[in-house]
Amino acid sequence: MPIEVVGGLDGQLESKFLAIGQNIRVCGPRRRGGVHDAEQPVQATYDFNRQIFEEDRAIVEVQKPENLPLDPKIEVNIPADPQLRRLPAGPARPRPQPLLHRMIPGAVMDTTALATAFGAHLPGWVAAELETVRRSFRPTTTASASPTGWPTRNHRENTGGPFAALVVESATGRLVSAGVNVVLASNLSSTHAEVTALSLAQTRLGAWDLGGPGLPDLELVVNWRPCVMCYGATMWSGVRRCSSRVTAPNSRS
Amino acid sequence: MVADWAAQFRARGIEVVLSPLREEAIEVFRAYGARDDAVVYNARGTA
Repeated sequence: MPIEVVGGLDGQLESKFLAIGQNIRVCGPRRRGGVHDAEQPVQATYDFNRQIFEEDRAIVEVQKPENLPLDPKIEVNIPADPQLRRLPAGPARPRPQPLLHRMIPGAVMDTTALATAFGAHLPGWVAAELETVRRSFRPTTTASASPTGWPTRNHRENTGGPFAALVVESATGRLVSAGVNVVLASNLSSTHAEVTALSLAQTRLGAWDLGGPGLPDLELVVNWRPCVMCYGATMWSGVRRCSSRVTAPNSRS
Repeated sequence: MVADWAAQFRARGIEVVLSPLREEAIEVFRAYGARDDAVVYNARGTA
């Protein structure tokens, strides 16, 4: 049974919840008057309904109906709506997550569940590798963007795919940022090594334009040809040079 | 990826420096692909 109904619920509303087909618990005030509750003490109904209303009081009292989106065009339009109208025949078919505020007129969308920030972190071993490079006086680019270096370690550490990238000053080779692919660690599909390195450089310099005034020419060093996303990210970043260690076909294509 | 991606970079003031394909780079991908416990993060499920 995908739905548990506690208390009373009118038939039309209940059928909507059943159509959603989610595992939800619906609580509403209990009604009397049927033959099934004629013998039940009325105080139990009072107590139950008081409990229901008290549980919802805080939510109800902060609702501001005047803030509801009265213009349907300014509501978020999601593909789930037409799919909900075409209810699947079998229970095994995946269904979209509905927005309850669209199913129940007057209900307020719960915005507290929405994420308001996202981020990614380099795995700890990158810092350790950088320290090793520093002590050995080897060029950072050789150690990290070498295909046998960080890319290999990155996939073996299950951080992400075998990719590493650096942002360096073109003229001096000075390291500005180092990145690896952290898709698996961050649960963010866009955190490829190039995006990670560019974002860390922009964070360090406090600049969305890495080719902005006052900055030296910066270069993105990668261990593989960029994918289409990183191609765009590189173009938007402001770097003046992109050097690729290999020119093989894109492994992610 | 478009075939002229490097030329398009250059047209926008981004110098492109490509090194020749190295066998050890291929070997890294071969080892990655040979893993039977690796999560390939292709969200379209076409990997």
